[in-house]
Amino acid sequence: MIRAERKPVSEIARMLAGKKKVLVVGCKTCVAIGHAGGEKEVAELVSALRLVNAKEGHGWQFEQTVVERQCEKEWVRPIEEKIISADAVVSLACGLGAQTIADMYPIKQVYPGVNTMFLGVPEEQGVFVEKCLACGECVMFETGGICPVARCAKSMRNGACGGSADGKCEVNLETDCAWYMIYERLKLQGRLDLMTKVVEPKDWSKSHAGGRRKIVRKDLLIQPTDRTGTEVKK
Amino acid sequence: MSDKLKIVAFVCENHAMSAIRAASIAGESLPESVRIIEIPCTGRLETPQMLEAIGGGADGVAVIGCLEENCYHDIGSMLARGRVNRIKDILKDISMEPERVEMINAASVSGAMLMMKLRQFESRVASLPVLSLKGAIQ
Amino acid sequence: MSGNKVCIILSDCQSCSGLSNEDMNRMLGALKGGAKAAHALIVKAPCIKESRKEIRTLHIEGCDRAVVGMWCHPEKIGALNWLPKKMSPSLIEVVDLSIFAAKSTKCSSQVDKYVRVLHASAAGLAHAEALKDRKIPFASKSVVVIGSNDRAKDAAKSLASKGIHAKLISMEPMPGVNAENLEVIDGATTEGLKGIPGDFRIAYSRKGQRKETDAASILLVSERCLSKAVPPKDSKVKVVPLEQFRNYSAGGAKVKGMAFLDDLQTLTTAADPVTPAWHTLLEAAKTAAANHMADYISVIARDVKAAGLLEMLWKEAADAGVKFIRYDDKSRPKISKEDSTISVKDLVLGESLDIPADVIVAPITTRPWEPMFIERLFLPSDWDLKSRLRGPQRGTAQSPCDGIFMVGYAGFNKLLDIAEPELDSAVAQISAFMQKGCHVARGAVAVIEEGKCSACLTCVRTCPYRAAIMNESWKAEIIADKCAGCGNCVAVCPSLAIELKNCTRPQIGAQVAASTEVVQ
Repeated sequence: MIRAERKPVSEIARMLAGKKKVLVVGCKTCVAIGHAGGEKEVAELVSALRLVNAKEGHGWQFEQTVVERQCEKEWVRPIEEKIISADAVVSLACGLGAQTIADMYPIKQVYPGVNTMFLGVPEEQGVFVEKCLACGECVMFETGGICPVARCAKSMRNGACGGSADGKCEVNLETDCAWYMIYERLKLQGRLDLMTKVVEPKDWSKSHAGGRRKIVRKDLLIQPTDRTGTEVKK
Repeated sequence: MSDKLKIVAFVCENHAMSAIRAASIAGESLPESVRIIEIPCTGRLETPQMLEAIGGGADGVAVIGCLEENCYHDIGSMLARGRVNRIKDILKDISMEPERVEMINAASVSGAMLMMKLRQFESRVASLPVLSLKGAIQ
Repeated sequence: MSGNKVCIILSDCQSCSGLSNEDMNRMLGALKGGAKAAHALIVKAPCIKESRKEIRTLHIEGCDRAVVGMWCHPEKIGALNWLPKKMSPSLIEVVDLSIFAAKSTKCSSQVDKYVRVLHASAAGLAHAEALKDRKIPFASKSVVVIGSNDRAKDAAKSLASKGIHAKLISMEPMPGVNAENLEVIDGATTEGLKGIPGDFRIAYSRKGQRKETDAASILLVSERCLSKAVPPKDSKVKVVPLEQFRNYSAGGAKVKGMAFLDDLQTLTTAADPVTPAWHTLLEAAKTAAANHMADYISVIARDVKAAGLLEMLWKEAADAGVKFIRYDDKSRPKISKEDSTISVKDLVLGESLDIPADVIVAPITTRPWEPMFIERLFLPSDWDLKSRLRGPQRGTAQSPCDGIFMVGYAGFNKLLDIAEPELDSAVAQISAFMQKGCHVARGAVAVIEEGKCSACLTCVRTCPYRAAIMNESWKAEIIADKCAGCGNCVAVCPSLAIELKNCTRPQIGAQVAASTEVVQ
């Protein structure tokens, strides 16, 4: 899921210069499970900011809360009063949650408390690894279930780049070369013929390179409208 | 506010407390400044609690637990050390001294060793500039 | 600070506290003055038998909890059945003030410190909940002893003679073993273990049939295990157990080769870099070299542990002429059939070394137990550390696996001369355990608020006792009888959905606040 890392406390403190009533809002979904912005981290950040407050005398008054999913308006609406009465809102949700609050209450100063990093799996407790780039056109059916776009540093589409050694990527020696892994996987599955298939360059317009993306599911729309098929729009 | 040094020590009820008791039986006493809070395992301790101790007026916070290879509850003191390091990073980030918080591990019979480490910690904290917090942490 | 009112009871032992009457009264005044205490009073020392009744029947109106300040460790007085009986045990905290007493300074100046300690305890106790001990009576009245050796037989007989029904499960035949209260199940191999202390069910197979027997507790008596490299039949090699080396003598004759051989599973566990056996082995090798017992003296080991104090011994042995040879997991030493040598293949050089060995000195230790016991006792199951290093520190009689007693094994194999004396102690502990008649799962327990759980699996992965599981609604749940009350799950839960009774966040917070405030 979405992985984030809390910004340094000093950076957040600088954002809050001159403010008085500060609301710190967490989210119970991705950032909670990733131990970056859930109720636990909200408590930790508020404790740390209180310490800064006691040391530097900003006069901050803190309110803290957490919502189920900060990226959905219905979940943000119930804390509207807290948002409105605050001078500054520090959101520990991912960029989606922070922007939802910011878009709903454009007059309010909404500050991001985390840096949203990537889509990652928990390989073991405390270790999160990026495995998907949300590139818009999944091709892993041709690569034995290993994504060459996210797991190869150069997003190569037709085999290893030649810089890898001992199965490790030349860009980051800690990372396994994705195409080495793909080869081993296809060998295991008896589908090495796929390695010889040459594919065309990726259509990057389907990824963020083509601008921000939007999906409209006409079959889900509640407003009466044309419901023929679905459409992916830009 | 008193100007006497205050050190809050979170002590696990297993090997750490045994070590303190062993020291007491041997005639060694806890440094004057140390106030003990007994918890079932140092792994129970959460980062806000350490920050609140400092904000509440403690000059130093010691987290005293079992030796990591021998934690009574397997992983507690190891997790506690990770959290102490996290607090040190936060303190450094907000221009406070990371030496104010320390993880101390003790074997249940090493009372003298623990007292020695506590005294060393106490003198290190005493050598730091006095914490002047403008008003109490809420 | 909010919360319930706490009564502070101070025992007046003047000899142990070193406080005068004035100091005591001053202390009482300061305690009463604190906002935490509803009441503060001095009672006569509980080490005086007569005063215990007074304390036991103490009733303070409006107060259901108390902090009791004592001047010695409560263990010195014995069982805590002198505490006020009208209060729940989980709402009484006994504080040993003697550990705060500075032996070298005047006691009067310490009064502030004692008051602070008692106030901090009271602050935490104010937020505590009354918790009931969960008493689970034993369903079985038997003890199962598992072992195929004389020691197991003796242990079973000893228990039986104490009037405890003992069942001996042995792989080897045990003919002629008869005694009252003793049931012998020989020629049987244990296959499964279910249940909790007081209600264990052990599955075994005997003569091709699978059966089950019940037990309240289990005694595991470890088997002797000679170094894995046992010489083939008819070999000329003589094997001397390490523990008997000091009595060994070749009758003055000097042999060609003497090899000190470790066993892969005994001396070389990385989890235990310095076991007692290494010290014994190095000493023995050094002695052999110093006394010229052989032309060629070697130590053959997988990992030569030479850390700390052993480093000196290693050097002394090497200086005396001992050769150190390393083997790999993948190429274990082989004792030759034809001549007196041990061959070790060096995987790096690809060469085979033939080491002269007319005499092999090897440790006899105990072998690790079947997976079901290793699992239950949280013993390291994988010596190459692929699994968790070790489990929580469980002694022989501590919940959550009260009831399984071990002799000769504690997270690593023990040399037999260390293991043997443990047997009597284990039998004594089992008798005490069986007398209890019920399994008491104590008050401290973690509780999950299901509504707050985000099913992140962190507590499930963290709990050292495997007490946290996902239930059918895919929310985390704590199995109370397995919970040891350590609180690790509480601290890692990202949704703050878990609380540890009685060490909740408000309680710790109250104690932190009380610890940092100034005593007036």
